[in-house]
Amino acid sequence: MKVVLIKLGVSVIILWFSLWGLAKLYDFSLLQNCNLKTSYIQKKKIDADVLFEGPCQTLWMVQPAIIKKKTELKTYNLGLTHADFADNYLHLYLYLKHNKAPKFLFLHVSLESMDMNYNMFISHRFSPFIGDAVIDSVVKEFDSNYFKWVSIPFMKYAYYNNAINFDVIQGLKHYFTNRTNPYFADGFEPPFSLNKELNPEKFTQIYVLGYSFAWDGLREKYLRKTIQLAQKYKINVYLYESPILKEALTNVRNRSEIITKIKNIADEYRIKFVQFENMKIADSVKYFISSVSMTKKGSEIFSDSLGNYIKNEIIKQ
Amino acid sequence: MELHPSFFFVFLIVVVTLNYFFSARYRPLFILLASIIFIGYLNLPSLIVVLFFSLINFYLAKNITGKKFKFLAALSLNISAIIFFNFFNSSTQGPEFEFHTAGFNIPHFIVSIGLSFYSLQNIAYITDIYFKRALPQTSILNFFLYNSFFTKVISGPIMSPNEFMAQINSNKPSSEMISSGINRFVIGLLKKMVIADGLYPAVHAIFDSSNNYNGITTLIGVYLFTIQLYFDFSGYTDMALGTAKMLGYNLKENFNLPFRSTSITEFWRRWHISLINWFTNYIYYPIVYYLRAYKKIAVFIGIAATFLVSAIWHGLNFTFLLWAFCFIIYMSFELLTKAIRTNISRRFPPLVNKLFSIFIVFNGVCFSNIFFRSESAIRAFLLMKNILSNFIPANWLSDFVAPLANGGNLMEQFNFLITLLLMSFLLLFERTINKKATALKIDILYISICVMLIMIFGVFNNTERFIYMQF
Repeated sequence: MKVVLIKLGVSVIILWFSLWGLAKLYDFSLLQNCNLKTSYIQKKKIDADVLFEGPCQTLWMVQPAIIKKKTELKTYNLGLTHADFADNYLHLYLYLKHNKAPKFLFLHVSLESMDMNYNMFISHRFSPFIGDAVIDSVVKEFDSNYFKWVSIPFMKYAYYNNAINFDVIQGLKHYFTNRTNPYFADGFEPPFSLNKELNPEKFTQIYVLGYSFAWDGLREKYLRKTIQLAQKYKINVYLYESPILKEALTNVRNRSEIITKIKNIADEYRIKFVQFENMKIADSVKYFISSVSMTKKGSEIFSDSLGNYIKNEIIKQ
Repeated sequence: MELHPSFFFVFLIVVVTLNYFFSARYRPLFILLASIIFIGYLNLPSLIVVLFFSLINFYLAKNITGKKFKFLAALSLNISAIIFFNFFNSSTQGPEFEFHTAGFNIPHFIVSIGLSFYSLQNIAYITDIYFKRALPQTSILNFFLYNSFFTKVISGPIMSPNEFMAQINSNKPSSEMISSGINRFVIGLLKKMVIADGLYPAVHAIFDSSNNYNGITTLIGVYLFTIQLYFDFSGYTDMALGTAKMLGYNLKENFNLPFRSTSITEFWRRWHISLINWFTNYIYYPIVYYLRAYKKIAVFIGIAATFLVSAIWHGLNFTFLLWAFCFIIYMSFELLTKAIRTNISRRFPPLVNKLFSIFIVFNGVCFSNIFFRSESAIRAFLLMKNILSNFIPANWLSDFVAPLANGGNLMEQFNFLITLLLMSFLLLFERTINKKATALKIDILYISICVMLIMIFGVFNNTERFIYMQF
């Protein structure tokens, strides 16, 4: 029995150190992966003048190149698919840790972003940063099942390994090929093309008749925290709503109620809530790939409007 | 309640450690107590059910020898228990039978864990005593332990009373048993977490979505289900046997390289062995013996009855009957064509024969498993139609890889590829891995590699229940 215990002990020690070493390798590899925004904003000084944050509507619809052309301000799109306000908050936190504070932060807010049924907090995006008190507190709040394991070596990666392994391999590839630029240098990712399964006619039916969005307290909390964090760094914050296919909104019952609440928050922090939902392109389904996300052409028109807004309404004043 | 890994690991370490230090006299009592805690933690009503049926069977078996009425009553009680708890359990019930039980589903909280497994044990127990093949147990605590032993209560393996009871008062687990148990447990965990759960998205996409995929995608999904089922159930069995070994018990093997079978008959000697042994001993042999005058016909009837009972045991779903029907045809075909097949096989080299037979058997099993996995017969036939139509997709990435690889982006393709590679490795080197898994000494390298693979590629955040837990 003594031999068994010794062997078990040796196995545990070997595993403990191997997993600790593996976690370090993952930390390193993920940091080398230029395609991960959390890594890219650390490795490369972006120091943008205008920063955009939000979910896929931001990622696919805000083209920094167009805005820069209009405003001559360095612009970066920090949008990520499915990102909720807690995700935005931590991305902003990490950005500010490694870059100078931008002059302007445009934070995407919509009916969907206040409702827990849309977007989410994606814990594994922050796995390499577990150990940082701010990151830990948010991850623990949103994903306690995950957080309770992270003190075991490598478990911060093992738990979501199916979403991380590929990024680690890609990170190693970037390291060995000395790659320093991501696929999308300014953060904008072109939206996917419509395929046969996405029937534009269905976009208008996405919200059933009488649909109500549910205002969520946790979303509000992190919207406020993101604004507060930005204001702490003296960043001018703008909440903005991107165009939504007009027909899709006809079924929504409580739009004005939600918008009023968002406006109240904006007023509370003395910031502007800019709405682009009434742009002309919102009338035409041909500019949309879903009821809330636009085609590349649509995003060009929208980015142009954003550029004009920044140029005429912000810079000139 | 779901079985939390953290609870199970702490529970396992505590129980194995304390069991080692208990004297032989108190060890069975301690394991019984541990089993009660385990079942009670998972589902309290299940604990009451298992103790109730153990008590009833224990007392009914006392003076059952030669008493036909009492024997039939005891038999009926156990069969009724399976019918009541298994048949009205919505997870094993197909849409074809819903009208029978509409509005009469038992509440989910009294769906009993492992009842269909330990009821078979109880039937074996009372039958053996009735036919004087075994003596009734004198200790009610030992009998409770036989039914509720926590390592096998969920999904077996099914043990005969003689096999299990003889081990109850044995000496404390040797260091070899504990080492072997750890080796076995680790490979079970790897099979379940890396392969079975890793294959789940592909199988789920093919069987559970309403999409109709092209032929090759559906066919691969069907193959993957059989492999998933194998790794899921054999992974469970490895963990059950490993845990039991750590406590000083040798449970029955359930699998023996089933995908290397060269006939369906051989397949059923290698797949879910403990259940098939039970059906052979208590259904097939009695029928064949009773009808022995009819020779081959008796065998056909025996096969048919065995598989029909097996289908009904799995649940009240027409798909299970169709699954059983496939095997009745396969085995009858094998029986009728044995001489012809032997003659033909002589014309080919043994290796060609073997590989061809393995291919045919695997495809036959996969075909019948379409019924086993599909939620309805209509869906099963639709999948078969999909296999036969539009076999090669026009766009292999979006039409072939994407449905199997959970959407098909680069990351998902990578995960799917890794799972397939590990699956192939485990299947190809299964014999060598089994030797490592049953070794009597702890192999530090083997354990370290297994744990590392689990940590890197195992599914932690979306683990599926063991497939056989539903039966």
